[in-house]
Amino acid sequence: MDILESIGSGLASIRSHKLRSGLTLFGIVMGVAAVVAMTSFVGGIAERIWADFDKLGLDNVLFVGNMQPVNPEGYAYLKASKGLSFEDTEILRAEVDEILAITPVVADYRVVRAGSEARRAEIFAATPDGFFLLKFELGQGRFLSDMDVDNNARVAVLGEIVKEDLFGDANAVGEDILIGDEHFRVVGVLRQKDFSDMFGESGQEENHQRVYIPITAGMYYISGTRRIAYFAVRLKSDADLATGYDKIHNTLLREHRQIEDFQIENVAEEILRARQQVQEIVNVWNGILSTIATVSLLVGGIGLLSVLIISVNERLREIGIRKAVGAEDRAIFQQFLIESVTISIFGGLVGVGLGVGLTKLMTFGAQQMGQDIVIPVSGGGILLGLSFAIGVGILFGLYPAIKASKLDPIEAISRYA
Amino acid sequence: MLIRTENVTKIYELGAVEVRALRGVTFGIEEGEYVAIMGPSGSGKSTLMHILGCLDTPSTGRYFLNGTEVSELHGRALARVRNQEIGFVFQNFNLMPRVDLVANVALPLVYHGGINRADRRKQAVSALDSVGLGHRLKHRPNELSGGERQRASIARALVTEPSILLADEPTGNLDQKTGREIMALLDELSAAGKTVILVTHDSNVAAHARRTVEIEDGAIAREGRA
Repeated sequence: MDILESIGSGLASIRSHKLRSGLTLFGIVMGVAAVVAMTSFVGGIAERIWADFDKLGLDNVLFVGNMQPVNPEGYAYLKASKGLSFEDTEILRAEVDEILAITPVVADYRVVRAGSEARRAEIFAATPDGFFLLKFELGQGRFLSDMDVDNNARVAVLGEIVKEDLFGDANAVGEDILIGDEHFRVVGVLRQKDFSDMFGESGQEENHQRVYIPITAGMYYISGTRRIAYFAVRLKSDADLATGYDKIHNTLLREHRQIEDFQIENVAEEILRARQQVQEIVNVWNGILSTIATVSLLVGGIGLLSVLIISVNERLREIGIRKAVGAEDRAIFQQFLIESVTISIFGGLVGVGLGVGLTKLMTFGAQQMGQDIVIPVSGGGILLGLSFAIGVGILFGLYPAIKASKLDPIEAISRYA
Repeated sequence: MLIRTENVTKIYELGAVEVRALRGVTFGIEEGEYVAIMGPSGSGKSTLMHILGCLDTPSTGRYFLNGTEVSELHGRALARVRNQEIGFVFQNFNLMPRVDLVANVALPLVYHGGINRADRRKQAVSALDSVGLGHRLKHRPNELSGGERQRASIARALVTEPSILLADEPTGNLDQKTGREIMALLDELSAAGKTVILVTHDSNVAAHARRTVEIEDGAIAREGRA
């Protein structure tokens, strides 16, 4: 008996007993459909959340700010140290391997003018690292350069909203603006990224309400001191967060004569914890879905088992004939097992079709409810569902196949069936 | 000697009761012989046929087929002997209802091993031709007359070119005229040199053979030559 014939025999058995096969396969179909749809759903939602985290762009980011005094003793204590300085960033960059990028930041609000248009905006002074660090994308012109920093250059990159307010649709690059009373030349405009749904536009919209200038120009024209408001730091993606945190903390303590006049806001840690919480929820859902799938596939398997036993009993004479003309037990076993797997794969394929349909329906339903979301069909889910179906076919086909292969040919052939 | 049995017995245990279906059968069949094994129902002739056809094994005694002691074989080895040495013709034809004649006749070749599908079909078609069913290849058994079904079953028995053709009441389900045609076909095969063993209670059928072995109560009662 070759494999093709056994497969054909399995398909013929489905064709000739449509209702019975349909009822048998119901469990397997539902089980596989559940696996495909649930895997797609959980995977799709999780993927969307991960994408929102990525858009937020705050993985591995720390902010180091100046400590604010809360009482006179604290004020005296803090007076003993100089606070955050431009030089601190140079030392941290040189000494802490975990740091991918670091920028000192000075920021304050000023009125910005271009021609007859004016608006208030946050002036954000940083180094070129800052753009990279905060994952900004460039719309037009260029980012700030190291040379701009070295030269105290009066150049600016505009957030897109500021650019629209001041220039409308007109070109801004190369144009002159006034920040307070100082003339700056626009060299670039940011490009607005699509915002994350989960975190809203808050964190990112403000990036586009700002005017970016070199840190040196910021210290000179905006703050008027060498004191730095805060540092933004991005650690390398493979760096250990705790180690990076400790090294930054210890290096700053040493530079500040053991006076803790700074505080580190560990955004990375918070993001990491949030991601872990999401992952835990995803794991719980995956557990629930595995349970549902396992139960319905077991139910389907028992249906398959009973139909296969009926099928063996109906075909006693066929089995007897096959044995009489020389079929070994093994050949009969193989024939019935392949039939079982064929039927279960057939059910699995129908289940995949149904699961894909359900997934599309979920997308459709979500969009009807005004959610702009697309749940992608999970390839892994399809694979998992089909493997489950094959596993059920083998597991529940074993007993009927063994029963068929052990039949006594004389007894089997004397039946009229 | 193609077939030799030495004191073959078969004992069935039905609960506490022992049924002695065969009580020591010793006989032989030469290659090319045309033999009828006769006996009323319950005589043990069916049991003897099952043992000769390697569907069953003796409880005691020895059975040599074509030089091999098959009474010592089991499972796979016995299946191979059935496949290669024996062609069964059954009273009720025992064709598979869901497939056409070519597939039915090719079935033994499926288990023969090493013959590809195209060659199996070719050999099956030629076997069907040889029994006069070349025009019925694509028909299913239920589309044929009884005589045609029995011819198909003979074609299936011949397709592996076995040493023995073992026919169990080959005319039992046929009318007289068709029965005569089937017997004529078996006569032809015998005349062509095939070893043919008929198992029957019908003396008209047995009359075609050149030797008869009569079984009664699990033992050989008489032997005779035509």
